[in-house]
Amino acid sequence: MNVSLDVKTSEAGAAETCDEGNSVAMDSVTLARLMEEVRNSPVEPTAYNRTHNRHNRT
Amino acid sequence: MVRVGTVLVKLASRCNLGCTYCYVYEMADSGWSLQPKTMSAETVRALTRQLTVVADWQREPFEVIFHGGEPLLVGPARFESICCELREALPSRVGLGVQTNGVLLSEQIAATCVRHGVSVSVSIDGPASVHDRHRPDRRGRPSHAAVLAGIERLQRSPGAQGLLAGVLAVIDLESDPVEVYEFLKSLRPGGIDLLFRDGNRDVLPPGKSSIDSTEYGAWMARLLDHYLTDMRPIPVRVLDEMLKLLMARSGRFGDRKEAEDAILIVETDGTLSKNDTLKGAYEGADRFNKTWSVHYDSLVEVLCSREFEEYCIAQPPSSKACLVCPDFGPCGGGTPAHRWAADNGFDNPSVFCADQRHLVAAMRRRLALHGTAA
Repeated sequence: MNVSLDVKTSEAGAAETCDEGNSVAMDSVTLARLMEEVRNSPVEPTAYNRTHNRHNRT
Repeated sequence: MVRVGTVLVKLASRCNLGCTYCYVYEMADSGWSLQPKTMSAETVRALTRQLTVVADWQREPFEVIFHGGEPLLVGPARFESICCELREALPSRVGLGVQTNGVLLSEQIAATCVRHGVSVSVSIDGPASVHDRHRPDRRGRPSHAAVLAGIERLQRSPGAQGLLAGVLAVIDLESDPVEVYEFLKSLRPGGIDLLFRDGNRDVLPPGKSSIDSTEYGAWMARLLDHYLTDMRPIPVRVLDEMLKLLMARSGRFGDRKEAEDAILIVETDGTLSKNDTLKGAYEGADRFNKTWSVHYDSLVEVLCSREFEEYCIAQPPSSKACLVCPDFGPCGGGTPAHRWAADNGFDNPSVFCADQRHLVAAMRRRLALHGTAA
């Protein structure tokens, strides 16, 4: 994994990323959340070919 | 070794809706007509015994999903007894869930779901103007209002907060993806998932003008743009998974074939079948060579059989075009049903290959724009 960004979510819901001191605006709440998820747990290869796509799991 | 991720239990083989695009009733296979209308108490008992053994043997958690047809056609009393029987017999690490069209979600059903921790996912395609185009009841009347009433009953029930795990929508290309997303979000589900309309390389999905056209990819890309700028989003599973695979750059499906969780389908009479989406390919595509049943075969022996292993290995894509594709990781290559062609079986890229590449390209652009690795 080559993602090394720190993400913090502001009160307004927007997020910012800091990459080794260089702040980059990241206005996507979704990308901020996904970044956290990628950093904290292994990514399962379960996209479009997943076999479970006839029901919605959590 | 095969590991079961999901056991899909067809509590009912019939449905109270007549969705125009249904892969069970409206496509190549008519096997449903030979099944009993609902699962008998004897079959539930046999299934429960078998799943208890599987849970002991496998140790790792799996999910039991009630499906159909419309699973709630068994009625509230039977639904309660089925959930009770399974919940009492199975370890708590085995999850229970139901995929329903929502029409029969009553206070009683909601109470059962609360009591036994059954997560609920409702099939709804968007606002009434979209949903009612393809999801009429058996008399051809719109079903949207009845589905909304069912969701409301669920959410009003004591203790039911958070039980609506998700909503599942089939894409209608004539709809506005932003309007669909915002409507689904207003239902306050735990998540949203989307399905492409069924089709294969011989029979193109509705709205797709050629194998190389990108109508579905463009629809998804418009949704992606809105989703990534939504300040109060609700997770959209298929987009999340693809984005995460792009972010992590670890999505090599080919390396993980054996680690994929298997899905096991238990038909209403207790026979076992393959992933039921295969029904759309040709008559009998979802059946094993040998007729296995929870009544007289050991599920663990079935899971350890050569034929079951071959079925699992055949799920991920095998076509050379997919294996060398730079987008293979985030795409995944598609379901077997979408890869089907009569002249060479499942050894093809998905009928949605161009759509997926269009969507992955949009994701890469978005991630680059946000300074995120892709």
